[in-house]
Amino acid sequence: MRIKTLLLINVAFSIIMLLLIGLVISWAGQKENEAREEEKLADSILMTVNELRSLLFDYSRYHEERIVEQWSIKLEELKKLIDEADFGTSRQKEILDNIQSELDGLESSFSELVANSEIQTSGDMTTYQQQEDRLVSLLLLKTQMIVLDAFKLSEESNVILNIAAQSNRIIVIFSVILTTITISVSILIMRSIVQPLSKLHEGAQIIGGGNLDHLVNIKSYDEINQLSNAFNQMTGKLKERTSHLESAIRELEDFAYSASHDLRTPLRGIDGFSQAFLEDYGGNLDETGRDYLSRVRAASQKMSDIIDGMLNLSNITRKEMQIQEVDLSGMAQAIASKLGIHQPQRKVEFVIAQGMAAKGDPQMLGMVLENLIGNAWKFTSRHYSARIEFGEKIVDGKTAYFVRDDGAGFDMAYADKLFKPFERQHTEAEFPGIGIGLAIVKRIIHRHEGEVWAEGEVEKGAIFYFTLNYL
Amino acid sequence: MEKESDLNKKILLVEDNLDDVALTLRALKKNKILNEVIVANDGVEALEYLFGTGKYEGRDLKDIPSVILLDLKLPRIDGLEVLKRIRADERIKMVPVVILTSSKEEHDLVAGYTLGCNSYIRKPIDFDQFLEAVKQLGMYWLLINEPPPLKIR
Repeated sequence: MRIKTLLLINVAFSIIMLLLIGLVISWAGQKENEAREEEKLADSILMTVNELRSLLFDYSRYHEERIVEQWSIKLEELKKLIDEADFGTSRQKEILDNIQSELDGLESSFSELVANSEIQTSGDMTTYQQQEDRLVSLLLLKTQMIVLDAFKLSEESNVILNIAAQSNRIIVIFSVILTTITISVSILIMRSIVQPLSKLHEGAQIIGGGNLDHLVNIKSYDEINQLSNAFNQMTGKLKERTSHLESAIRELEDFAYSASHDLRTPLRGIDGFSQAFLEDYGGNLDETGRDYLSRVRAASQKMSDIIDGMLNLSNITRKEMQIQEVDLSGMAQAIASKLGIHQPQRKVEFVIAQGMAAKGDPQMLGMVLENLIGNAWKFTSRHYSARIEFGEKIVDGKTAYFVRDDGAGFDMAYADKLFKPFERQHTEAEFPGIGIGLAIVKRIIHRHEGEVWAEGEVEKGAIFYFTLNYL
Repeated sequence: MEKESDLNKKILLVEDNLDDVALTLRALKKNKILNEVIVANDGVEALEYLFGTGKYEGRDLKDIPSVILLDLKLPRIDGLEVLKRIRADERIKMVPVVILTSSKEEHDLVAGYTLGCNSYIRKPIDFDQFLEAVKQLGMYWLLINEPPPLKIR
């Protein structure tokens, strides 16, 4: 079932439950109120009837006009109570009608009684007394009837109260059942969301890690299924896009490679023919003419270096990597000795930590160390003595290798330019080079999924860090 | 050096770039390698020379060059294809072939050696280095190296 349907069921059940509870509570409340009103009425009727009774006794004893007036007032009150009573059930109406007619009977009998006492003085004493006794008994009987009716009314309201209580109990049971259903449906929804969501999360992590062939497999027929299908489609698109990008980059690299490659041939012509010209016709030229020609040759040599730099750089990207364990300490040591043999007059102390090894392409990591240590060697050349250190330390929880020197250093303001191809911090006269070494280092480190960064201070030295991610 | 080198030994230079041809010839001359150089400007011409067809119809095929300097990027038929056909022919399959190119792409190197080139030289841009390279290869292939016996039909 779809999650939306389940949620709708849940909401519907909750609304029905709320409505039912509300209805029943208000109905029961109303019934209760009515019942209480009736009880109050019954009480009032009882009270008034009692008063009527005592007035009746008083009258039969004293026959005072004042009592007759009070009786009329009480009777009116009682009538008014009955008239104003407004109750629902037919049984109650019947009782009220009864009381009504009994009241009428009461009124006429009492009038008879009053009329009887008025003729007392002129008539036969015995007949009068008999008549009065009979009327008083009749009146008592009638009030008794009203009392009984009032009790019936009170009983009836008790019945209604009971019904209200009963319906309250039923509604509690109903609520329990509906709540159970709602909770079950909620659990069902939770299951159908939480499990697939964690699967999706896992899939996103795998795909984010670079495995674009990963498919999220969720068997369901709801929105989660649609989501996982869309997710898989997105992964497919991502894969497609990535391969397009990769091939575009490859094309660019190929272009850079063949362009720089093709530049070599005309350049060879420029250099070769300048040399030939210098050799064969140099005698006919003055000093300036020969200087110009040697500048042409120097410029073409420079261009040749740049082209070689570009070729080397693009080779880094094009080359297949061969990952194996690489002895970085040994490699650095070999580079250091080679530099020492090359320029034995320099006073450079090498401090190389022992036992450093990492996984990577040995040829590429060799180039990294050659460039970094070579740079350290080059940029300390203007100092009388130098110290070059190659070691490792933990930076942000990762092993970072570093090459530190105490040479010319650099201004941190230009730190971001260091790794860009053909960007230089010093003039050619100060330190020779075309500015490709650190760009090569950066590409190699990126191909090893690591980071490279530098810190430095002018004339205090520089420190280059790199991390490797094939650990 | 020229006293010792057999001037009958010919060099076949397969090169489409006329500047490079001129520079190579100059480098040979500078290094006093005075052997006759036959220049083919593309793969087709090289094959015509080697098999005595087309422009070289009726050439004496027993006259096999002592070394072939072969560029790879050539119009029509490229250097690797020329090398393949040389190695496939019984008569000339033993001729030393030196690939002289500006490419140092790995797949070119691998293809060159797989097809049986004897040497692979990347043309330096610096003319002095180029001179040195031509001197070395001339000395090696024309003087030091003992050529294969000529196969005569």
